[in-house]
Amino acid sequence: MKNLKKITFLSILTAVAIVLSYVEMLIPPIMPSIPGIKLGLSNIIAILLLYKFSYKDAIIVSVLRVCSVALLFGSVLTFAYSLTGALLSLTVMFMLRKTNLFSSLGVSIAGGVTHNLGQIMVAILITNTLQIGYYAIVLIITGTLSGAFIGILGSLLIKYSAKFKI
Amino acid sequence: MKKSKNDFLLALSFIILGVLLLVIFNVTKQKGKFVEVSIDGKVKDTYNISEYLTKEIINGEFSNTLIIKNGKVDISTANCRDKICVNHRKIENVGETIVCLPHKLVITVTDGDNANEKP
Repeated sequence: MKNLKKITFLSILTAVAIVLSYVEMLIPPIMPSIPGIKLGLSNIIAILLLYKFSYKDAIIVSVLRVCSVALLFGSVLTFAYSLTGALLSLTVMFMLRKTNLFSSLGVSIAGGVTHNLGQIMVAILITNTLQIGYYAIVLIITGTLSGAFIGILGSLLIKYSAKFKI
Repeated sequence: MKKSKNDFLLALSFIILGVLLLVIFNVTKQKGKFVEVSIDGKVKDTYNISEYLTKEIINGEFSNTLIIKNGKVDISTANCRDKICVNHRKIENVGETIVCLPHKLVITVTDGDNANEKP
């Protein structure tokens, strides 16, 4: 794919990821007692990138997305959480994908869980306590569920994107 | 297909991990003795959980109202935006916490023995 075409396409995907993050914020919180429960809709883009492009491209788009969202809608805190979650989950997803043992659904589930665990780790560092780790239990379960949901959407996207000449 | 089965096993193992952690946390819980109030990671105050008190914790513009009653700890009001700390149920076991992330406030129930604090 020509370089210009690729840059343009990646930029569009970055914009879509930013919008997905914003849309996510509009959804009323399902469980107010636990902060950070997010669907992780932008992970659809991450999965698409991992399967259709490269790990490096996925990282670039995700970092751009995290920076933009934090600047536009969030705070330094948002930035720290999102970045850790995104980088951690991308790396784990990339490694799992390389083993070729799982489909995009499994990879996405792992991505969802590690994304949440990454955020909990940041929360532990920021609040300087270990006790907040108790939330990890619920976050593992919701990470699995949201990862599955994102995975199904993502795999559909991957399947149909084959029709486009990227 | 093999990959689908692996996906399922992966999801299952995460769920099992979650359930395992849940069981471990519930089986090892103990009633607390002290209540620690930390702001920005530093312990500011420690109270006995058998006390009866209502105290407004003020940290600059941040305000949270702590209530210790009947051996349980609660936050009744706060001026943070999400009020997660206010909606939290009362805590009483060692290791349980009420956190107000925007205010960097952590209320912890401990047994007074720092080395044994439950993760």
